[in-house]
Amino acid sequence: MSIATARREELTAPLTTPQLRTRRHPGRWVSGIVLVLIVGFVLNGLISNPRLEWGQVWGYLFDVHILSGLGVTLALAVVAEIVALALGMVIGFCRVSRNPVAKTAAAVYVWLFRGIPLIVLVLLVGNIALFIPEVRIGIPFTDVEFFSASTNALVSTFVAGVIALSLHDAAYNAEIYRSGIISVPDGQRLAAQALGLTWWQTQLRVVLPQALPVMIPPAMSQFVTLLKSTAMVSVIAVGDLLTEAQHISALNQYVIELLFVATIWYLVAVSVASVLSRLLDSKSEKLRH
Amino acid sequence: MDQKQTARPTAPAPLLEVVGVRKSYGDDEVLKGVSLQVAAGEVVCLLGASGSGKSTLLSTMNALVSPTAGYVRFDGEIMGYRLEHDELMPRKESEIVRQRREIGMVFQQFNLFPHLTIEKNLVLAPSLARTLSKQERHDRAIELLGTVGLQDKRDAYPGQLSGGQSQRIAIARALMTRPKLMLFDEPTSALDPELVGEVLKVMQDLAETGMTMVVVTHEMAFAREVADRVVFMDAGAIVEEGSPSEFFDSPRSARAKAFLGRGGAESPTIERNAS
Repeated sequence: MSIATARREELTAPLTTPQLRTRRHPGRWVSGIVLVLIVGFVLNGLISNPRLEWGQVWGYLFDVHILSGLGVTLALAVVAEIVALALGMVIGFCRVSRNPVAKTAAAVYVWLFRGIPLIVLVLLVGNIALFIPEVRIGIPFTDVEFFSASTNALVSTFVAGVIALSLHDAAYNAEIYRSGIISVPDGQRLAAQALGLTWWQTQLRVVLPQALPVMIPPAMSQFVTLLKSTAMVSVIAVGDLLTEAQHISALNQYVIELLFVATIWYLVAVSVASVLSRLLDSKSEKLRH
Repeated sequence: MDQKQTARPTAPAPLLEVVGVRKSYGDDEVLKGVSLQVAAGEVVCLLGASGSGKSTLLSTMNALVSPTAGYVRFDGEIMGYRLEHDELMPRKESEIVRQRREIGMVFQQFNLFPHLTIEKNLVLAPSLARTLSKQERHDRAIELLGTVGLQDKRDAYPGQLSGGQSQRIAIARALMTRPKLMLFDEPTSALDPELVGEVLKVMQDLAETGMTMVVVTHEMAFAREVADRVVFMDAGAIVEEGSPSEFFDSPRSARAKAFLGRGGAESPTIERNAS
């Protein structure tokens, strides 16, 4: 194109172009203002309420008993998660196995432990000494005995809490494993079989590595649920965050203040877990590609 | 049938022998008593319309599918079963696994393991079987990657390969355990047309090394050129078999004629002499 024709186009082009405007969203402004008003009203009520002593909340937030309760809560969640992941894996594989006994047993397990309310399970395990006062390990129906101890000595309230939470959570984790396992295409199993891998080798070396990345988001969300569910063990006084908060408020009557303290720590713990889960997920996302 | 007639001393025993194999899924009988023999070094192409039972027959050969009746004998052993007092008893998993390592299989969808690099895909089975040392596995993988012309893809992941490359890798993977028989289940059906040639070339080269091959395929040109024998199946049974020239130039059965597109009025016909 010559300079002359370029000039001519410049001259013939319209000198003023209509300006483009972005779409307005009046609805967003209105709803935003309404929301700010509502939140402000609630916050004002909380802050200015003379029956709520915020000084007590901040004072007890880093109390030794509260922090030890937080430690117990985190320990409960982590130990129960580890047990539930292992147990859930076994049950999950049984769910998809071709062995009818394993399949049925796993299905019954999931039905049972998803059906029992967690708080009932916690109470049952916590009071297990009432119907099994002693634990004996020996040969059944004989007098041969290798080991015996009273149930109360063996199963502390912490252990009871871990058992109840693990049994409950394993049922949910089993379903997460199952959905991860069935998300792996059948062709992968066929190829592994054709190459002469055993069933176990196929599961561990081919199926599981592909199922795990799929499982991470639901498993982490289940862990957050477990973290909050640990509060249920306060009914058998394990010494967790909620139990400690209630112990203190039973003495000083600052019930709401201490529940606020517990709430703040639960929110912190859940937020940290959510951030970790997002990090883990983005890492597994990278592994997949 | 008289036992002596089948075991003539002059003819060597076939490497693979399918005897009266039937397979049903519920009420649906997909294989209706199929018998077939494949000699060592032979290339047999299984042809037929979809749903004719070719792929199921192929899967009985390495015991991925166990027959409802009949049996498959490979290299002197019955696949998946052991003869005990006139009864076929299921073999232990460890024995079935050993049998399968003698037979390589290539699938339509490649089925490479996406979480492993190409080299790891190749060495996984021999490393779990402990049949080769680490150095031997590595050397064999490199050698086979060279054979299929993909030595530079050693550290790539399956997701980074084209369909044709994936299938060539799948062939190399199946060859790692030095199988005596290779099974191909529509190896080029999932490929873009321009990628079919590179896979067929690898298969043809393999056939020329003397590998025994059973190939389920829709590639008529490949069957005509490479196969020693063509087996045509329809509705779960073998309808016709013979040399490629016999089959393609003068099919005997009406169904084979219809399949090849030059049969009765109901079949699609190619107007060869129209112009």
